[in-house]
Amino acid sequence: MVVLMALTVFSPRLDAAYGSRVNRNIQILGAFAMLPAVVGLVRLHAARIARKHSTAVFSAVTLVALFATVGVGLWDRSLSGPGFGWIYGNIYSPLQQAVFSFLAFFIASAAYRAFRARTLETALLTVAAVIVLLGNAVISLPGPGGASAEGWLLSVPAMAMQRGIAIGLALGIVALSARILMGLERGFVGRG
Amino acid sequence: MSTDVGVWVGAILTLAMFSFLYRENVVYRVAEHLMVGVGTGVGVLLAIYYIFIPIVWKGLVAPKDGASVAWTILFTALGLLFLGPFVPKLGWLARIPAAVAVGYAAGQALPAAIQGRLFPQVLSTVQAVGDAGSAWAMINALIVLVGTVSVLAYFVMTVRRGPTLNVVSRVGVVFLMVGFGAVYGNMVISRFTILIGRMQFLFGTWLGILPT
Amino acid sequence: MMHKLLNIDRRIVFVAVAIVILAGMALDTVVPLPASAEAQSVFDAVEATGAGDTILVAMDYPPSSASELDPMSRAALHHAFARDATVLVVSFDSGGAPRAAKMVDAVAAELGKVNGVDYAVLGYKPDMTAALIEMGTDIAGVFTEVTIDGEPVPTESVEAMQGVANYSDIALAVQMTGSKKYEEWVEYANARFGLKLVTGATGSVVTGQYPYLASGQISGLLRSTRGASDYETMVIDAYGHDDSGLEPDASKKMSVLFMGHLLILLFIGIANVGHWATRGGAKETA
Repeated sequence: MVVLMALTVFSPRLDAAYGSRVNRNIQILGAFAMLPAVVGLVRLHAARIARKHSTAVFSAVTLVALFATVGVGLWDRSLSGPGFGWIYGNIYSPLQQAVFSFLAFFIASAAYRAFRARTLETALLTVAAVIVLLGNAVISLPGPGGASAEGWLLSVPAMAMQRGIAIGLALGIVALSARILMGLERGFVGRG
Repeated sequence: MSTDVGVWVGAILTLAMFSFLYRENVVYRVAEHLMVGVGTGVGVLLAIYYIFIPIVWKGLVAPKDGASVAWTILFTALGLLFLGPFVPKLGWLARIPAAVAVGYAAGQALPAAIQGRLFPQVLSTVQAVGDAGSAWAMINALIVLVGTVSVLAYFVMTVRRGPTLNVVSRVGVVFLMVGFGAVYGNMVISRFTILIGRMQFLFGTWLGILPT
Repeated sequence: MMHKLLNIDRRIVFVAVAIVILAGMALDTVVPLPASAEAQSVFDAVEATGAGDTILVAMDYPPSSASELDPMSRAALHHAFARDATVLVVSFDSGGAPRAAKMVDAVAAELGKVNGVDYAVLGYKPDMTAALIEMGTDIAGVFTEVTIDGEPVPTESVEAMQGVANYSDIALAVQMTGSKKYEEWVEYANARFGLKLVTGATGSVVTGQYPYLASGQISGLLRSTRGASDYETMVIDAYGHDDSGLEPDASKKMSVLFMGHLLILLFIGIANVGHWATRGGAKETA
């Protein structure tokens, strides 16, 4: 499979014969891959309810929410129906946004407790953070070469750091893909 | 104050989540489990309406040609093998579609990592030095070149670290600290925006006290 | 005194954050900041399109990133419709796909645009890599149906898709994301098929996009709410509020962010002054 898909990049005939078919149908695997997770979740929570576990009430909430959402979505016969839209807009979206909005409080706490310039490295970290913080929402300071300070910092030294990491990751992906190609990497099938 | 039931539900659930900031409690756990259940339900519905109906069902009952039916049947059969672990002694069957998926991903990722990431990034680093049209552009290009190489050197773990590599790695640490500081600065605007969105919903849309 | 200040209960910090945010919402201070060069590039890229061009808008983010990315998605949609371009919308985020469809329908309704004629919501696919690669050959082969007025319709029969077979028929892709999904757009859609790409990202991932901006693989970049505010302002200045129909959502948030950022800077200042004043003596608690 690895060899076939890599070769389709270089051969239009191979791509037309097999590549397109695989690209379109591999989506089916993606959808089926979700099934074990859903079945596992239902079994876990159903078992807790059956055993009258201390968290049985919460498990019941999860299962009722799951089946109600799927039931309403199927009743609507599409994702643009009013029932699913209500659940998505008034339950799912607010909950998701609330969970991530916690992080603002914790990031403020981190600023108070962790951003102390004890060493050269932490001083650099703090100065870089302050420049970007100022430039993002307070005041744009002048930087080298006529650029803004935060603009220069993001597109030169910080960009260099990100580029080094990106190149390193690319080398890692090449190495891992090559190992899979050669059959050396078999952890995903449960062997070492 | 809003009279929409949906807004009230959203507000109560938001406050239930925020109660965690004081300490973990029953109300928060109910909201958390509700989110897991609804989120899973959304995922299942997406799979049904975007994959199972248009690709699997219609691919079998109204195919474009004979070959496409065969491919649909093949991949549907492979997909069903994911349920192998739920049948005693057939757990090993799930390895087959997993291997196909991983093989596919690796086969696509290998040329993409080289063509889309490695070559363009290395080329851009070197070309910027050659194409620099002004003194500042040259200085910036050299900073990027030094930074990229030193950060890569910092992550080299497979060779013995001599004095040269150690010095280059120390330079890499400087760039890493500047980079992480920039990441934190951008994280702040990101997280605060999400919080502002929730506050606008609670105090604007729900209570009607402040402008949205 | 300084020790107590440095070891303050984190719940007091949380309350301070909440008060400052509310104060920011009440005061609504206007903060004049110059538009970033990256946001200008995004505006110029969309501005260069026109009637007869097709723009692909990818809203690859869940509801948790909506506060940051919805304003830039909305601005991009308003701008694309103002240019009379045909708009195709995809979403490769399972949590965000229904939201994307709803937003496009709402913006289109405001501007009198017709589903299936002026725009089409192609939908969602779980395997993003496979979809991005196959869209380089045949978009309708990936997204076989679109939903118009609640009914599924074959994609190739839709007027908005006439003459649009693959990426070579798309003038520009505008992708918004809160995760690393932009890497796949760069590696597959741009590197393999040459699709012109501009992106918008949350603050948590935007720093990683600068190497691709520098190499030219991304032609423009919107940096979180700041970028969204810059872009909104450019669209409203170019087309006026009435013609574009765009509300300055991100710009309103910027005034609150001004207060929030001042608070963070104050915290960093107090922490450092306190640390150096009590060097070696402060005992920190979690």
